[in-house]
Amino acid sequence: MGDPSAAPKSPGLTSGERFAIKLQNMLAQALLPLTFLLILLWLRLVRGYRIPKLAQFREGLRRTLDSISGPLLICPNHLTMIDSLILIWAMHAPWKPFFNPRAFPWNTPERRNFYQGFLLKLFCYLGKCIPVVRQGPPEETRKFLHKVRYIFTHGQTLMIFPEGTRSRTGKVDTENFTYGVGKLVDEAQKASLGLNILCIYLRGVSQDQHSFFPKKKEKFFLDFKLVEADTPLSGLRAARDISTRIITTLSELEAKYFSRQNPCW
Amino acid sequence: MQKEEAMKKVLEIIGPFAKNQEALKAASPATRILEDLGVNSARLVDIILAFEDEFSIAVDDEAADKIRTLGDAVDMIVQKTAG
Repeated sequence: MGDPSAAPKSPGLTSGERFAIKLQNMLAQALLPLTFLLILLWLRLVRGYRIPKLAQFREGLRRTLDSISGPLLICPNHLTMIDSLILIWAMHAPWKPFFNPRAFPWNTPERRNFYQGFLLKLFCYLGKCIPVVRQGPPEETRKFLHKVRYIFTHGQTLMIFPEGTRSRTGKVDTENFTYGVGKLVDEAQKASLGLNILCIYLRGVSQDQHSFFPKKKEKFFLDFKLVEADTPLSGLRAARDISTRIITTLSELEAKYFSRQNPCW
Repeated sequence: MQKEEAMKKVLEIIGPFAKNQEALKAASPATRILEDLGVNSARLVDIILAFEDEFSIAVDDEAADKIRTLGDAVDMIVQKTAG
């Protein structure tokens, strides 16, 4: 992570907890060439996934990210259990996350889904995951928010699915989304962290409902848009305003996808 | 504000969010908002914001976290409107 002495203090975390995050970041980055290669081989060769116009997507994203500074919150739509893996593969050239930790986002899997068995736990640890408990006790939510703030304080990137769960309708859920992501953004803005929000729309061309994995040999469509993180509101109203803005943006990107005759090329 | 009056308004606000309308009809202070009335937890924030608008009160995160039952909501409203 960045120079801790240059960063503001992170209230709510003990020195041991801060050290644990730094250690996880260091180990994940050190082993990234191995984990990234395994993931890439699995996605490309075993599952046969392809992303038409990948270079064009990466170039557009690179130009956009070069134009902003500060920590980044990535908010994708959510249809499968491996969306974050596909996005990590898609977002940058394979070598980039090795040298730039910001290109290797922290992830926020639901603890009950992913933290089962040693191998999955190890994979999550090395995948820079911070588990979140959906509708968990307030103390646990607060601890999660403190960790996220610490990550942002160091200018890093976090990926979180603003719908809260995989969409049951196959479309961006504009009705039942939670305001958790808005709360997270509002707290970062109150701390003047200069947070940027990037909405990414990811969809397998043959994906019509949510699923565990996308179908084998799936082709993916990707689009993105930056979203304003500031709001004149405060508290719960700010959380609702920001969350609604993010979901609306994802919904607009989805509408753009479905309005295309041939969305991938 | 009296508890009965607050309860009536709370039920009016929560009504549209409650999936279990039978439980809503038989509601008591012990009725749990999420489990018994079938309110989507994601909409709890909307309900709390509606409380703020209806009763001209401010509900902070800590107070919001403590609301589990209709009675909790009513007690909080009565306490805040009395202040």
